[in-house]
Amino acid sequence: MKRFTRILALVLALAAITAVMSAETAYTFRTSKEERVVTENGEFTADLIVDPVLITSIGQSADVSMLDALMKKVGATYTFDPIAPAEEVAKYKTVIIASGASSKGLGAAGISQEQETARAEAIMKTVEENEITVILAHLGGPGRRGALSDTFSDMVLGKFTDFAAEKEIPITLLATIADAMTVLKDLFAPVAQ
Amino acid sequence: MNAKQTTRNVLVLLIALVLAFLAGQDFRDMQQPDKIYAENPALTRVAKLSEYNPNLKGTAGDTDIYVFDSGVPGGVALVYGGTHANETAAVMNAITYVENVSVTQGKLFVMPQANLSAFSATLPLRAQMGHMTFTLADGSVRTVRMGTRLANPVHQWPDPNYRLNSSGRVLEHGEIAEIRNLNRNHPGMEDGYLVEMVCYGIRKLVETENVDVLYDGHEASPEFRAVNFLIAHQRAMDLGSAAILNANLDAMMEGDMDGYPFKLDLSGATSWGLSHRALGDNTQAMATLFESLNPVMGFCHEKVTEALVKDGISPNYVHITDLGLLGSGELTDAGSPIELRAGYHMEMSRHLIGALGELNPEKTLTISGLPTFNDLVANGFEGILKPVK
Repeated sequence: MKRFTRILALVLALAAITAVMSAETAYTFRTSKEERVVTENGEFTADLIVDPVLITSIGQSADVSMLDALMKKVGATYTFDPIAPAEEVAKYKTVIIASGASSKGLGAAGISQEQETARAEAIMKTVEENEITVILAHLGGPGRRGALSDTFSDMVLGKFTDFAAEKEIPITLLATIADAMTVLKDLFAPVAQ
Repeated sequence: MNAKQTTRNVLVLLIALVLAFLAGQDFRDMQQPDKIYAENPALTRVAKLSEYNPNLKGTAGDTDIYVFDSGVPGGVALVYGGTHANETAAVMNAITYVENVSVTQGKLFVMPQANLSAFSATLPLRAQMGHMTFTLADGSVRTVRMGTRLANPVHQWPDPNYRLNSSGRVLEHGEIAEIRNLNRNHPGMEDGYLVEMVCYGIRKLVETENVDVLYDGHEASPEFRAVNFLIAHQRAMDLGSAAILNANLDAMMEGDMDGYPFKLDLSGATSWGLSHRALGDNTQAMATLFESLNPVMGFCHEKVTEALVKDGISPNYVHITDLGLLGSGELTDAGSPIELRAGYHMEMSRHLIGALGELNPEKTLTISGLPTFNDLVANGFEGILKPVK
């Protein structure tokens, strides 16, 4: 059984990311002014999220910082470690992975592309073995779609709507970055006692 | 030489002198200080950069700094434009601050013409306008200077053959003119080339005044991959993320569901001499830089008329966009008007200031009085700028 059917997976993606694919695949935008958040192939509820939660990056793009800002805004409890090694990931029950390659980000972290690829492979092996819930988050829009970024997204799960439909993995599409608040609040905001 | 030849030669010389005199008026006018409105009652004082590097006193690099000091402890920010004097939206953003902002906690420094020398010349052979004009409601006309990317060679010349500058960047061969580029020479030198001394003045301003967040406004060509990007030093990534998110949430609250096209990127480790890298590395400030979209910055624009600068309508770039050749700075017939570009700078810088207090409550810097983005876009600078007496 392939890894993505053994783990719960959710993909957060800005609808705009698919704009670059539209010429080749006649992509139809799911979101609109009226429907700003669209979930396909299932739904997400807070009970699917198991603590503790880790946020990490694969590719070291700045999107992981945006995800961190979103999670802070909703008051989520989580650990933020963009370069967490696989053995660290093993300590968590839910891991949110912001995929997107940045040569500047890799340089700042002192990581080569090859080292990041090896880290990604080790992390995905770990989440399979430990049945860790994986959330793939792509927040960078078309600017964060290049060959290397796509490679990293493929390593985590796959890209995006077509893959999710094929594997029946829930995917949530967002019109803008601010719309992510709606989804993340539902999943991570503290519950009033 | 007979009398007839002498008369003819003298006549030719006289005509040449008259033409030189007439043409020289434009150059002379560009040496005069620009008029910036400074009657904002919230303005504490107008400082000079030479207060932070005395070697600048009396030079073309001694630019004005507008200080808004609430007297209440809090955060400190520096917002500036005019690093590149032809990147007009960043200048207009700073002018909008100077004319309108009020500070009730913390301290704000605004510098509209960071590389003052660069405002005294235009780019050679580009037939570029030297100024923009805005006709205000009272019928008066505001003129805003447009300069060039580099300091005027009249003020800093000759360029050396080789320079290992203070950031570690080597300037040589085709890049040597960058010794006059403010955004290649940070953190600067106390006693060096003029632009290096200006950079040093900015560094000392940041250090002396304990600036927490620094905003360097720029404009980018449609070809540039980082259009509408905030470039942040690694210590400013949290701040930048929060600012972009807050800007979009505010837009949503105001009914603008499309939000802002702001993106975040990390300052390159080898971006030597650039403000976000060199001032971030060498001072305590969280250094940021933002790029708005201006077709004038590109290689394929039409003649640089006032209309092109203000409206940003470039049929050439619309065609290039339609061909699908641009990955970032797409342009439509609506163009990229100065109000939109300056509005992006205003929202980005305003939200960086807001995020400073959100992430560090003891560093709260409370500002008010700026026009809203929608006001700026709807009314234009004709409805925002104030008359200069």
